[in-house]
Amino acid sequence: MHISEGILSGPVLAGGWAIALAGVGVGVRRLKDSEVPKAAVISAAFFVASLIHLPIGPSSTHMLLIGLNGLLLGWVCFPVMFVALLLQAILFQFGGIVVLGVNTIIMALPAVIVYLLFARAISQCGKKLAKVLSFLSGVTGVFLSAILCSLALLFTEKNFLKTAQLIVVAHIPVMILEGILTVFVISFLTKVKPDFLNGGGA
Amino acid sequence: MAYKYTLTLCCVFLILIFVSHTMAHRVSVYAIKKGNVIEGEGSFGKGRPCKDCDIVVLDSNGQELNRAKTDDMGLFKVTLSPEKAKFATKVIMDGGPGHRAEWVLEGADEVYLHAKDEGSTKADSYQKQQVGVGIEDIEILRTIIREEVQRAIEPIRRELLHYKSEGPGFKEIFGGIGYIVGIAGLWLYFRACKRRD
Repeated sequence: MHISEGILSGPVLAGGWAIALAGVGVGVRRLKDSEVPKAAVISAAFFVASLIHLPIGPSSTHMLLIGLNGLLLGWVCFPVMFVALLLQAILFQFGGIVVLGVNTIIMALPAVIVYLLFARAISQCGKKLAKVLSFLSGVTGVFLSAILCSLALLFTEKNFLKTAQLIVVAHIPVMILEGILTVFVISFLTKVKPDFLNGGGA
Repeated sequence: MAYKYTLTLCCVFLILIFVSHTMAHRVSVYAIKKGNVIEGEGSFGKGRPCKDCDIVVLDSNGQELNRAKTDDMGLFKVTLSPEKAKFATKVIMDGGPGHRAEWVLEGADEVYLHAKDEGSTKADSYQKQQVGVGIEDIEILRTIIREEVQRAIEPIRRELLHYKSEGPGFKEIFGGIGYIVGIAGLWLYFRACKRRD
């Protein structure tokens, strides 16, 4: 889901940076000191997850952990993903510095939406429904990210529907796997460390 | 408690297994100019070819000269007219929505083109000294040497490409995690200082 350098036009890149920095600002304001170590652990997990490549499907895809990030961190996932994406751009050459703003939005905004949609419901409902909602969180995160990615490419790829279709189809295996992973992690954390699920002070 | 530790260890172990077998999610393309043919290879990192991707050859003004598609091995071949081949400077590969890689044809490839122009004057003077050796012979010899040298260095070039496109190693992965821990540490340190003041 990382857009490479040299594809997007100037206004899209600048707009991306503006929105991403605003998101990072909101995230940093909501980041409590006591949540910093948790944010760092999740940032490290997100940083490494992109290396878990899925050799399924027509294109090159990898794990994103968007839904999980959203549920665990809320708005804080903006700074968390920004840092991880910056390091990925520098160390792995995934994406790039110029497109960092757009790439941050593509991954962090869906995470925030997942948080707003599902976080409260998951913490309040019964075990079974929580599992279903966790699965949906994982799927929704990747799906929204694919749609945002197509939107960013709208000005270069022209055919929005076709691009969106290509990206969404390529990420179906990731959606399913992220859904399952989110179910496991959330139900595990609910059992052993329920205060981990408080949405990052958001 | 023991159950928790075992589960954590299992997760870490699983991630490490995955990581050691990962391929970079990075698109790269490599191309070489052989006369008026441009040959090359596109990949998403070591061992994962970019199949059926669009390849576009541009001149220095960004004008499209020709295009082709990669095959199942990620290999491609673009044939240009000899006139156009001189101006080919850039190869762009479209690796699907949002994925693009470029290769600038320079170094050895450009030297090869210039050598042809400079070469004729050297050959002229050589011909003057050596009666009986025609300029055509020298040109043929030069072409043969050029082709042989290119054939000989081809595996090295390929190896270099694979080396370049190899996924990130443990150094980068643990380096990155280290940075994240460092940033979190610095953040907490400054917050603590602020609170003390």
